[in-house]
Amino acid sequence: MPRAKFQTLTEQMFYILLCLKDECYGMDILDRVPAMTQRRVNVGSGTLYNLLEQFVTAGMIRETKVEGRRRSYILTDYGRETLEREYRRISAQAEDFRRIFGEESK
Amino acid sequence: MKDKRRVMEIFSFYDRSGLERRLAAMAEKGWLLEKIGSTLWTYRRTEPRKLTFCVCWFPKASAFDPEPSEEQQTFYDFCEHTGWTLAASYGQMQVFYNDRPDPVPIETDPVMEVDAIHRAAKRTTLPSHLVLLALALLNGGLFISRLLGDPVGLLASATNLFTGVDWVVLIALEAVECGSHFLWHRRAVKAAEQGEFLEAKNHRTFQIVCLAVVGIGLLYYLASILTSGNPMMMVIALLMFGVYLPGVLLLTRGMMAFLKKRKVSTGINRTVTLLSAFVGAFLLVGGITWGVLFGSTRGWFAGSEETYEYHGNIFTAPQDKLPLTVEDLLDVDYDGYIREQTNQQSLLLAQYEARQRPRFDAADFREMPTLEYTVTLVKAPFLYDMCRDHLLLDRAERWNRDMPEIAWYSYEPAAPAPWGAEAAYCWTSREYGPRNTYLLCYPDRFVEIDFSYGWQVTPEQMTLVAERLGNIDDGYSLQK
Repeated sequence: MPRAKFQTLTEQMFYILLCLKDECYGMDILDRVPAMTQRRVNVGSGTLYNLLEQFVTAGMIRETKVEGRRRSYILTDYGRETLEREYRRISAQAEDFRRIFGEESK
Repeated sequence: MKDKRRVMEIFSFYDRSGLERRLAAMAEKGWLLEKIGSTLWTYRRTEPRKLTFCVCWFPKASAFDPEPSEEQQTFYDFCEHTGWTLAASYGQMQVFYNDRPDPVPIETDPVMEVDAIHRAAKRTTLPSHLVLLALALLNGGLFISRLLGDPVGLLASATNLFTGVDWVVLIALEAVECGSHFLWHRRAVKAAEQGEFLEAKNHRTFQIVCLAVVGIGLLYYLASILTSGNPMMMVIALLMFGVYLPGVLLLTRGMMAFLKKRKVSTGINRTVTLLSAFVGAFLLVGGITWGVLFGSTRGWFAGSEETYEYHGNIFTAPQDKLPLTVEDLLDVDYDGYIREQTNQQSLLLAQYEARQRPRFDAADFREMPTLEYTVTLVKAPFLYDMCRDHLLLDRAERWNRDMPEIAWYSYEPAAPAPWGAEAAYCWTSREYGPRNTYLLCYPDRFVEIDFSYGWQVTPEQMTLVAERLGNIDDGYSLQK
């Protein structure tokens, strides 16, 4: 089930959805994610193609414009909820880490 | 200097990494993949380059597609944006190369990649591998059941041995291919959950060995047919390998390519191509069978064989040269004998059968003695005991099957010395005692000989049998 599938997001999924806060061409995500993460995260073209398809099917993003083979997408409310849930999960993890190691980790 | 090379590439469907390494090595030697065929892959000569290759799968594509779909084109656009150029594609398989150093891979999520490979496999290669495995198991099973029932007859026939071995090799090949895929998929799913793509194990050497065995078997089979001296078998083999197989292959590929060129939809192309393959195969087999039957009724394959008419039917009256005849053993000179020999051989065994019987229209039909014998030459010594045990029991099993117990026969030990044999057995009835049929065991062969009823076999005749059949230096017609 797609919804169960995206209960937690991989790093690549997270940044793709983050890119789509504003309307964006699918192909541009390939450049935006590395730029956003100082090249720490790269998304492969095949992975992006499949994820966009799956996000549309899951209702997390929607198509906004089709120009020939160029399609642009934007995050839906459900996609935003998923992103926020993931943010809270990561934040909770970070909080737990700080609680255990305190300042010594800095 | 040739600018194109066509190579038969052997690899497992899911062995992405093995194939990528192979293509990169070819590019470094100056050969860039240009086209993927179902059997041969075409490479074109280029400057030797260090390229990174990526083999990926587009599960929605099909080999019957008239052209890449818009979705597929979009996928290509995405790949091109990151420096990946499409080298070639075949159905779902897409091969890209990239000349940038350390490029971002096309697939960066192992879970999705494993899923794409498995989905693509389930749509095309796995079903065909499973069908082949089922077919091979069925035919391999039939081969083994025939091997248990008539091992001597089967192992002495190059045709049966070749087809049987091929089916067994195919079972091994397909079982390894299907089994490895499922095993790899199960492990790859677990590894992908940990963020790793699991490399598949390469079975290339095993696959090459299997195909080499089939190839050598095929060459041996064709050579044995072409040198058998049997015109009908030669014609059938030539028609099957020269007309039928290339015919079905050309028809199927030609039809698929023609419909693709005409931009016919995927579904229609698939249906029409499969139907044409089925109908074409049926018509070709029907035509070859009809032609062979038509030819044999008109004596096309009989060579110079004599024929005669008896009660409105045409019979052949072969006059083959036999190593031992009735006339060699008895002081008789009847007209109207048929002297017929057949032989078959494989690498393991050879069988030579000879029959001397009266023609149906012979004047002295009832008085004429008959002689029949089968010489089984054991070329592979490890089969000797198996052949002896089989020959001792097989005749009795066949004879006694539908007979009341009182009429049962069996081979009982007889004196071997007069036959110059290591052992001798006489066909003996429980009720009526010994008959004129013997199984004689020589160091490298068995002779089963049947003299007609009432023939009192003398020691001199036994010696002659031994001389002619039991100790032939040049193997006589066994080598024919």
